This record gives sequence, C-alpha cells and structure tokens, in this order.
Amino acid sequence: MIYKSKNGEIDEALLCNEGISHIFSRYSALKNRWPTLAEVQRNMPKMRNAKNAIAPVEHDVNYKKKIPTLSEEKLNILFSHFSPFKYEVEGLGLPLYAAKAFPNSTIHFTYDKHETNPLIFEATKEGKTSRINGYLEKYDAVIARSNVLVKMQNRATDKLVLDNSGPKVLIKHMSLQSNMKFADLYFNEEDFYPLLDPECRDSVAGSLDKFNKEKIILLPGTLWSVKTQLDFIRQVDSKLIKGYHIIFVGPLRDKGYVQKIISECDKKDLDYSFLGNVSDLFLMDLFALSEIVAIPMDPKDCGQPGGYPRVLGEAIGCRCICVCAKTVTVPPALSKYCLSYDHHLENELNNKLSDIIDKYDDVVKDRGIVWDEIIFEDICQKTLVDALGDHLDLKV
Amino acid sequence: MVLVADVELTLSNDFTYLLFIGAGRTGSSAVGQMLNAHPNICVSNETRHVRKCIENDLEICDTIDIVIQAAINDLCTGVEKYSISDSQSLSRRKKIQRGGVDMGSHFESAGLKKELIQYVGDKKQGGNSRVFFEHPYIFMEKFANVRWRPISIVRRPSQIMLSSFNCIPDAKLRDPHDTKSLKLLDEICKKFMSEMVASFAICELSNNPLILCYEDLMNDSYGFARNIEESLKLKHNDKWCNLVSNTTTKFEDRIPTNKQLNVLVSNPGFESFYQRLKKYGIVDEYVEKYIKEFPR
Repeated sequence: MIYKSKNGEIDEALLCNEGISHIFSRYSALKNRWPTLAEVQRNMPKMRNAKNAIAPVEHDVNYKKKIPTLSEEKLNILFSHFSPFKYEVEGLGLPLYAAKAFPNSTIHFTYDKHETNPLIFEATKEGKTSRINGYLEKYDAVIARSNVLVKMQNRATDKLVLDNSGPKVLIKHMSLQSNMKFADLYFNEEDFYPLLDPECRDSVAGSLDKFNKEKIILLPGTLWSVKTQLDFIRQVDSKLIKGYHIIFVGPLRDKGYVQKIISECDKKDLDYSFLGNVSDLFLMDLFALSEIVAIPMDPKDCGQPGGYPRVLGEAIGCRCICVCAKTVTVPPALSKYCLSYDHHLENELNNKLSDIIDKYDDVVKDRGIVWDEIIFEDICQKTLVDALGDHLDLKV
Repeated sequence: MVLVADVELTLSNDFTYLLFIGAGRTGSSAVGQMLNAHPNICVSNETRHVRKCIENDLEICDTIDIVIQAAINDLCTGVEKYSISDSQSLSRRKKIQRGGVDMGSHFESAGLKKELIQYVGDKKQGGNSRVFFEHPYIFMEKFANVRWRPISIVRRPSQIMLSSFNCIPDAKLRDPHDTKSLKLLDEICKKFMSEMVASFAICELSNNPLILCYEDLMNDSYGFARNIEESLKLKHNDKWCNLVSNTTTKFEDRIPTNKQLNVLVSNPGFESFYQRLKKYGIVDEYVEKYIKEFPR
C-alpha cells in the first residue's frame, strides 16, 4: 500500500526505485557494477547508440566465430526495418553480418518505425554504417520483418522498389495474419530465434565470470495481462519456491494488473521486487545473477497464436534455465534449456518447477547443457542461408 | 497583413529538419527569414524547438506543426516586430535585428506561394549549439529518428565579436576604451567560440552539412541563394533568388581596435578554432593583419 500515490494508483517511480535499491543492497555484485539508479534507468540502447542513426559509424563488433563468405557475387540486398540502435539480429546485427558474408555486395537497411518515410542506411564489409538518401532502383533480395512490407506497399516509391526487386522474405511476422502479405517466403516462428547480441554479450561477459547464480526467479516483460505474470503467481506453490526471490522487470503498463500481482504475492507471503523499465545491459546482469527465468506469456490475447520472445535467447545466453508457458514458441535447438508447462493444467507449473528448484547445477549436468553452444553468429548465418539459399547460389 | 495563414500547407513525408547551429550575430536571422520565404521551406525564428523537445522529452517529428505554425506567423508578422521570447523594446529589436525585415510583404509582392514543404527548421544558431554541449546524448537521440541536415551561417570572428558587442544595452560598456568592456568582450569571444566549436562537432556528425558564409551573402546575394537551392536540391526559383537579392542589406564592416583583436586572439584555443573556420572558407583580414603585426 505504501506504493500508492494520492489518486490511489500505484506510484511506479516509488515502487521501482525501492525495488532497485533493495536488490542493490541484497546483491552487492550488482551494486558494484551499477553505481547509480540513474544509470540503470537511463542507459537505454536508443540513447547509447543514437549516433548510429545520425552519423557514419565504424562499429566495433566482437564476433566469436569467423564469418564465412556466403557469396562473392555483386548482389544488392535490402534489410527492411532493422533498428540502428541495437546490435541484435533484428537490428544492426544481421545487416552488418551480411555485409561481411557477402563482401562484394551492396547491403542497405532501413529503419521504418515512424509516420515519415524510412531512414535508409548502408552497411559495409569494413563494419561501417552510414545514412544514405534513397533506395537503389531494385534489389536482388529483400529481407523484411514485422509489418514493413505492408507499409512499403502503401508508399508509391517503396512499392516500385519492391515490385522491381527479387524475392521478398519475411523473417519475423509475429504470427499476425495482417503482416503476412506481399512476401515470397515466410519464416515459421521457430525458424528465427534471435540470441544474445554481441554488445550485450560483451557487457555481460565479466558478470558471468564474477557473479554466482542466486536463488532468483526473474520474470522479464511488460506487466500486463498478455504476459500472464499474475497467472504464474496464482499457480506457483509458495512452499516450493521458499527462499527464492521473484523479480519482475519491465514497464508497468497496466497498473491495476500490477496491483493484483502485489496482492497475490502478499497473500502468499512471497519475496518479490518490481524494477520497472531498466537498461538492456542491466537486464543482462540480472539474467547473469538469476538461476531461473520464467516466461509465462500467452500472446493469444493479442491475436498471436504463438511467439518467440527475444528474452528467451538472451536468458539462455546468460546461462539461465527457462520455464516457459506452452504458448511460447521454443525452437527445437533451444529446447534443452527450457521447461514448458501448460498453464491451463492444475499443478503443471509446480511439477515442472520442482525439477529445477534448488537443482540448477544438476539440471545443467543432466540435460547435457553446454553454454554458448549456439550463439549469435550461428543464427545470423542460419537466417541468411534459410532466407536466400533457394534463390541465390550460396557457398553453403 | 494576411498572407498565407489560410493556405493549407502540405508537409512532405520526406521532409528534412534544418538544424541551425553556430553562433549568434552571424546573419542567421536574416538568412532564416529568407529561407522561410522560400516556397518549399518553413523556418521559424527562435521558438527554441530543439531545446523544448530535449528538456520536455518531446519528439522532433511529433511537434513539427508548432514550428510550421510559428514560421507562418513570422512570415505574416515579421520577426522584427514579433518574437516569442524577446522582451526588448521594438526600437531596440529593430536595431539589433536589421536583416530580413518585412519579409512577408516581399514574399507577397514577389508573387511567391508556399508549396510542398520539404525543409523545416527553427533558427536558433547559438541556442541549438549550446543544447548540444549541454545534452549531447539526448540531442543525438532526438535526431536519430529524423532526416536532418545541419545548417550553419559562419562569419569572420572579428565581426561576430563587434556585432555582439554592439548589442550590449549599456552604452558605457560599449566604449572600447573602458576596461570593463574588454572583460565583457572576452566573455563574448568565449561564448561564440564555444558555440561554433559545438557546431563544428555537429557538422562532423553529418554527411553533408550546409555551411553558408555571411560574406558571400554580402558580396553576391543572388549567387548565395542559388547555392542554397543547389545544396538543398530544390528546383531553381528565380523569384525567390531575386527576393534574397533585393532584401539583403549591405552593411559596412565594423573596424576592430588592436585592443579588441588582442582579446580575441589571446583566447585559449583561438588558433585551432580559427584554423577550422578557415576550412569553411572564412578568412578574417583584421585577424590576419593583427597576427602579422603582433606575431604570437
């Protein structure tokens, strides 16, 4: 109740600031890495990497595997709607990787988020990106994500570029029918699974070496009904997870929903904290500190039959065991890192949790888990080969 | 005078934000108003749009209508008579804001009309530069989602110094022999040099900064306008180039004393600052002469 403001609503700042202060005092390793609350809340990728979108930049990406040349031909490839602020596969990651895998090709990528026309960039094999004024007349292939093909079809100039171009491949459609238009090839949800990106990987590397895994169940994601955190708390057996600290991290989108979670946690006498929206790099450190990451989301509420959440790949990259609702798409390659449960079945969650609570090391051993077995570079290569292999003569 | 207030403006989906950067007292207000009279450009005068976006966490694109509305108001009313923030008297404003006067009438009599708006900006050269060095990361974040192009009007430093000096309201302090005035002059130099250095940094972030020299405007105003058209890839508009040519007031140089020049060139960092300025085509003969006479 102390978190309520005068109008009776949850006071987000009060709740989250107290949550972060609490985990700082409880986990000194984290406090040593993140000296101030402001740094945790302000060090966002868009601010950190804003220069990428406004100026020519030479990126210092630390690849862990040699990038094989997929084609020596002079191709023109467009990546539509990839964020210039993040180094993840769906951001700078794939275009920069492609620029090296296709060293003689022209690689363009766009950032198509706003009402105005997209920002267009070029990526070079030297690892540089810069803003350019417009598209080429046509591309040998277009790799797109989200609803960008629909957006492009509604703009005369962009439509012409698409009409003149070779195959269009939609690698991420979030299982939304409205996005599944105008492409020649659509990836399935389990075909495309972004993993921990190089920037976050470098940032968390030191923490993974220094931190000991703590008894933490981390629930990352926006706090609203789609993520079904409340169902998780209602179903979980408080005796089973005694001694574990439940940490909710993500924006408080539905404060009424958050209030219900708080009431339920209090009723069950759980040990919990809310941290609000935090820097992606801080989140990686939280993953590094946590034994278990719970992803109870049910995207059916917003019309998606399934979905692969990016946090799954990031959590695995930070050596967490993941407990996922059946509605979460778990690609076969990642199944050994995850336990899936049907949240409609009574006690299914607790049955699964009982296999891993207080048994982190045993689970890792029994399941034959080798951390970093599959990494960012693998998914970049797989995506390019899957997307372009049927249309272009690739060396793989 | 009602000019274009009733005209519906269409903003291009591809519009570019003209980010004015540099120092004050470089003729930027006059150039801003000349640009505002172009059919495809809207430039407001000192709405402090960039600072407001940064300090209130607003997006440049979401608030662009405010800039356009202010630009139209400026064209209708004339910036020499109207300013959102200026508390100075009309006569004083007229004295310090001598260029770009009554642009609305010139716009109308030249037979110009607003067309598809391809460029939008707010003329606040020194202010925008200061925001950059106060909040560099937020500044970049705000421009990361925007098509933008830096525009900077540069001028010989001795003339910026004396023009700023002339704006000091207290007449006694404008006496070049007064000791206090030299101290004030030193502050003026530090201010415009730091603003210009920040603007160099912003120009280096961009692929294609638009650098305009005040002296070019004075020497060949029609050619100055043609250069803007070509740099901004706008089709040639003879009426507008003539408007620029006809509304440019030629001012005589202010002659600096040796004491004043000494304040300027003694400033730490002046040499590297001046070298960078030279790269943009600015050579200050008063500074050159002084350095030759009194080598450092």
